[in-house]
Amino acid sequence: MTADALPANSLVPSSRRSQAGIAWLFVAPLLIGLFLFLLLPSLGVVILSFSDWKLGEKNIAFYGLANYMELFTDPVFWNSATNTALYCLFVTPISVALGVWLAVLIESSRLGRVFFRSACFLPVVSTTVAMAIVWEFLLHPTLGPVNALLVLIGIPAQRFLSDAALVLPTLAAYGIWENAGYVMVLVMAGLKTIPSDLYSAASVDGADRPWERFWTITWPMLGPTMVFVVIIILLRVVRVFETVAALTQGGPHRASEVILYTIYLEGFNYFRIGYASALTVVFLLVMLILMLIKFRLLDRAAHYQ
Amino acid sequence: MMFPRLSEIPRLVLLVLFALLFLFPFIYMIAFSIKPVGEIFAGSLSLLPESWSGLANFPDALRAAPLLRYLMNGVIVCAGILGFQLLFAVPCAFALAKLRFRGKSVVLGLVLFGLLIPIQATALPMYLGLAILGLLDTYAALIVPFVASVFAVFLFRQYFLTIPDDLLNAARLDGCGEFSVMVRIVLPLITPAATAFGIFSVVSHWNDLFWPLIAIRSPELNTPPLGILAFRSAEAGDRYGELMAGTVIITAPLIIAFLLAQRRFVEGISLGALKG
Amino acid sequence: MAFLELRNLSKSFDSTPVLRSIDLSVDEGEFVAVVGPSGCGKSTLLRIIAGLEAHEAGEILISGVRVDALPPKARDIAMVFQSYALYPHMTVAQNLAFPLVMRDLSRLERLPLVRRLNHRVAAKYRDIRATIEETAALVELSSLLERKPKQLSGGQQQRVALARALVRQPSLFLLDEPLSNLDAALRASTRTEIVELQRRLGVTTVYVTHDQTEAMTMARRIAVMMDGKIVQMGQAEEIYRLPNDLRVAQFIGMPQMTLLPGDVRGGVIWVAGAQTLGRVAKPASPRVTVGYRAEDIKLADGSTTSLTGILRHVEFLGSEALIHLELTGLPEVAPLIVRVAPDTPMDLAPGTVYGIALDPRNAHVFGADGRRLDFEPLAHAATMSAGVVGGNGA
Repeated sequence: MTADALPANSLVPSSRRSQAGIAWLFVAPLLIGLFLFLLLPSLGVVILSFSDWKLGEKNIAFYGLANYMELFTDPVFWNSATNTALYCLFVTPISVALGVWLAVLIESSRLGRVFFRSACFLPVVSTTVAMAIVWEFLLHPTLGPVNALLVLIGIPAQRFLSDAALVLPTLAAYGIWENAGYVMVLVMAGLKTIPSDLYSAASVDGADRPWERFWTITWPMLGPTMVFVVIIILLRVVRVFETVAALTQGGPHRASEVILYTIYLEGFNYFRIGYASALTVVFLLVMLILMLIKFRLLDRAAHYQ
Repeated sequence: MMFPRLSEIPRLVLLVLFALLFLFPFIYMIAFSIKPVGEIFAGSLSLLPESWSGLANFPDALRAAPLLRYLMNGVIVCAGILGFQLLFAVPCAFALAKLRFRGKSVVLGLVLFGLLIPIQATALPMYLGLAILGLLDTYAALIVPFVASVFAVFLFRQYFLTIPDDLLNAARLDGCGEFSVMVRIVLPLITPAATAFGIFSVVSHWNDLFWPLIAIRSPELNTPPLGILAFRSAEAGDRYGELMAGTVIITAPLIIAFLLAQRRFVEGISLGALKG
Repeated sequence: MAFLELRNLSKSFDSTPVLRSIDLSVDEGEFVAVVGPSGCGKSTLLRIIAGLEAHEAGEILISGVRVDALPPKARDIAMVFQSYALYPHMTVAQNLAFPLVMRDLSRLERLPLVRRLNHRVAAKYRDIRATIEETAALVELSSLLERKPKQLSGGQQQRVALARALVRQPSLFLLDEPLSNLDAALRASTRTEIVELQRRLGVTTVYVTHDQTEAMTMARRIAVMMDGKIVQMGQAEEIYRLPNDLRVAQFIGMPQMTLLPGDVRGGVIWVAGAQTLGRVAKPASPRVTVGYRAEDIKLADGSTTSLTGILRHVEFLGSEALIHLELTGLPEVAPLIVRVAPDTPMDLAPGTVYGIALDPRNAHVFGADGRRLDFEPLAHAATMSAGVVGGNGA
C-alpha cells in the first residue's frame, strides 16, 4: 500500500481528530473566562454607555448619545482630562530622560551596579498606596522633613497636597519617582542589545568621551526602543489613580482629579452607571490608540531583527 | 574591595545622590517607624531616634489594625489569581502553539484582541454582574475577574513556539498522549517564563487598588493597599509613628522578596511592557 | 629599531593571569600573526596594544615612544574587529567617514548644519568624501557606499571593516580574527586579498587568529601563543620544522602531529618501547614524547620494522589520503596519522597490519616539561627496510 505523505505534526490521520478534541479541551476554560470577564463586560460597557441607568432605579431607558453629549460639555470631565493630560506631559518626558540617564550611568561601569539598580527600582516594586502615605507624611506642613528642610533654607513651608497650584506637580513628582526606575530597567535591556564592539570601534575611531559615545552610538541604537518606552510609560501614567485616591481624593476642589478617579466617582460613588460607562469608553479609546501604536512598533521591531 | 579609580568618582557621586533621592522615602519610613510620638511632633530632621520607646510602634500598629490579616489576604488573593491564571493559560497557550485544530486562528485573534482591553474598562459590568450573583465582597470577587489572563496566554505561547516540534513528536512516538506531552515534556521547560510571569502577576495584583476598592466592603477582606488606607483612617491623625510602622509592615514582604530575587523581579516586571 | 615593541606585558582578570610577560617586536611594514587556541590571551593582547584595555605591567612602544598612557585614538592605530563592529545606523560611506570626521573636525565643526554655514568646514567634508571614495575603490566597495551594513553580505561587511580601518592610513593595523565569520571559500580568497593589500600599503600589521593555516600562509613571522605566553616566534617554515614546544608542535600543522610515548634508557631514546632513535646529550627526564609529522611516517611490510600498526580508518582527501593506524599493543595511544599519495597501491581494509617505519632524523622529541629535546639521531637506519610500501621511493 502506498503511503501518502504524512502530515508533519501527527502520526496517523486519526490522531489529528483527537488532537482537535484535546485542543478544545485545553482552550475551553480560558475561552470561557475570556468571554465572561473580558469580552462581554467590554460589550456591556459600550451598551451601558447608551443607557441612562442609575443604580437603584428600576427602569433603564435607551439614551442614545445623550451621555456622550453630556460628557463633552461637562466641565468636570474636561477638568479631569486636562489634569490627566498635564500629569502625563509632566511625568512622561522627565521620567524617561531620568531613566535613560540612570541606565547609561549605571551600565557604564560594574562598580555598584546591582546596588544602584535596586535602589532606583525599589519605588516601582513597592505598594503605591503605602508609599503615597509615606510621602504624605514627608510632605506634612509641620511635621514632615521636606518642609523642615525648606524652612531651614529660608523657604516658607508649603502645603503640597492642599494647595491647588502645587498638588498636581507634587503628584507628578511622585509619578516621576515611581516610573524612572521602570524606564531605567527597560533602557538597560535595550543597552544590552548594543554590541560592545561598537564602542571599541568608536574608541579607536576617536570617539572616546562619554558624551560622544552616547550621541554617536548609544542614542541612535536606542532610537526604536525609546519610542516604545515612551508609549509604555504613557500607558502607565495615564492610568494614575492610587495616589489621587489615597492622598487628595481629587481635591482641593478637583485640582487633582484625574480621569480614572472621575470614572470611579461617577460609577461607584454616585452610581450613574450610564454616564460612567460613557466616560470609560472614551478613556478606553485613548488607551486603545496608544496600545495599537505600541503593538505596531513591536511588530516592526520584530521584523527588523 | 578595590578603591574606585579617579575617573569613576563623578559617576559614583551622581549615582549616590540619585540613590538617596530614590531611597529617602524608605529611609524616613523606617526611621520614623521607630520614633516615639513625642519626637515626631518635635519636627526634627534627624533620622535616629533618641529613645527606643518608639519600637512599641510596631506592636501598637498590629493591635490597631489586623495588618497581618491584610497581608494574608494579599497572599490568598494573589496566589489564587496566579494559580488559576496558570491553570487556564498554560494549556491554552500550548494548544495555540503546538496543536492543530479548526478555529485556532479565531481563538488566537480573540486572545490578541483581549490584550487591548484594560481592567478598568470592564470594571463596571463586572461589578454589576458580581452584584447580581451576590458574589461581591468575597474572595471570589477579588480573584475571579482576573483568572482569564490573555497576557499569560500570549506570553506562554511565544515561549512554546520556541520549543522544537520534533521534541514533541519524539514524545508522541514514545507513546505520550497530548496531555502527557504537555505535562511531562513542555511544562518543565517553561519554568523561567512561568517565574517571570508569576512575579509580574503577583506584583500587579498585590499593589492593585482600583478593583479591590470597588469590589470589597468588609474590612476583613482588605488587600494590602486597602488595608493601609483603612489603617490610616483608623489612626487618629497623630500617631504617625504607628502609621509608619504600619506601612513598613505592609510594604516589607514585597520589598524583601524583591531584594532576594532582584533579577527575576526586574525580568518579571519588565514583561509588563509587552502588556502595556 | 622595531616599530612596535611590547616589553614584559602582563595582565590578569580577577586574579587569573591572562598575559604573562609578553615580549614582542614587529618591524615597520612587517606582517606578524599571533596565533593560538581559544582562550590563550591573543585577543586581549591585541586590545591592549590598541589601548582598549589596560595592562598591569610592562611597556608598549610605537616608533620608540611609550604609548601606555595614550588613549586608542592617540596611538594612530586602526583595528578590524571579529564582529566587524560596523555602525548599523550609518551608511557604508558614513562608516568610512566616521574616523576622519572625528579626527579632522573639531566638536564645533561636527555639529549638524555647520557644514552648510561655513565653507571651510564644507571643504573638509569634501576632502573626506574624496578620501573614502579612494579607499572604497581599494577594496571594491564603490558601488555600495550608500547601503547600510545590514544590506550587505558577510564578505562585503568585512571589506567595509577593512576600509574603515585603512581610511586613516594608520601606522599600525590590528586585525582580530577578521575571517572567522566567513565561509571557507570566501576565507581563502579574502586571505590573499588582505595579504596583497598589506603589501601594497606597507602598513605594519598584527593579525590575531586561532586558525594556524591563516597564520602560516599570511604572515612573515608567526608568534605562537599558549596560556598567555608567546611560546615560539619565527617564520612559518621554522616553526613547522622545528617546534620548540610540544604545544606548538600539536597546534601547528594539518593534520596534527602524531605523538608517541617514549622513554630514555641509559641515554638512549626509545619510542613506544620498541625502537631506538638516538642519544641524548644532557641528562633528561625518563619519560619523553616523540612526535612525527604525517608525511614523515612511512608504511612498510610488518615484518621489517620494530613497530607495527593496525589500519583503522582512511580519510580520502582527493590529493592525498590520511591513514589512521592504531599502534599494535598500545590501543590507548591516539592513532598515528600517515600521509600517502592517493594512488598508492595498498590494502585499505580495516584491520590490515602494517609496519611503521620511523626515520630518527625526522623525530621531534619533547621532554616531560614539553620543551624540545635535542638528540643525536642514530646514524644507521636500523629500522628502515627495503620493503617500503608506497610509490614514492626513498
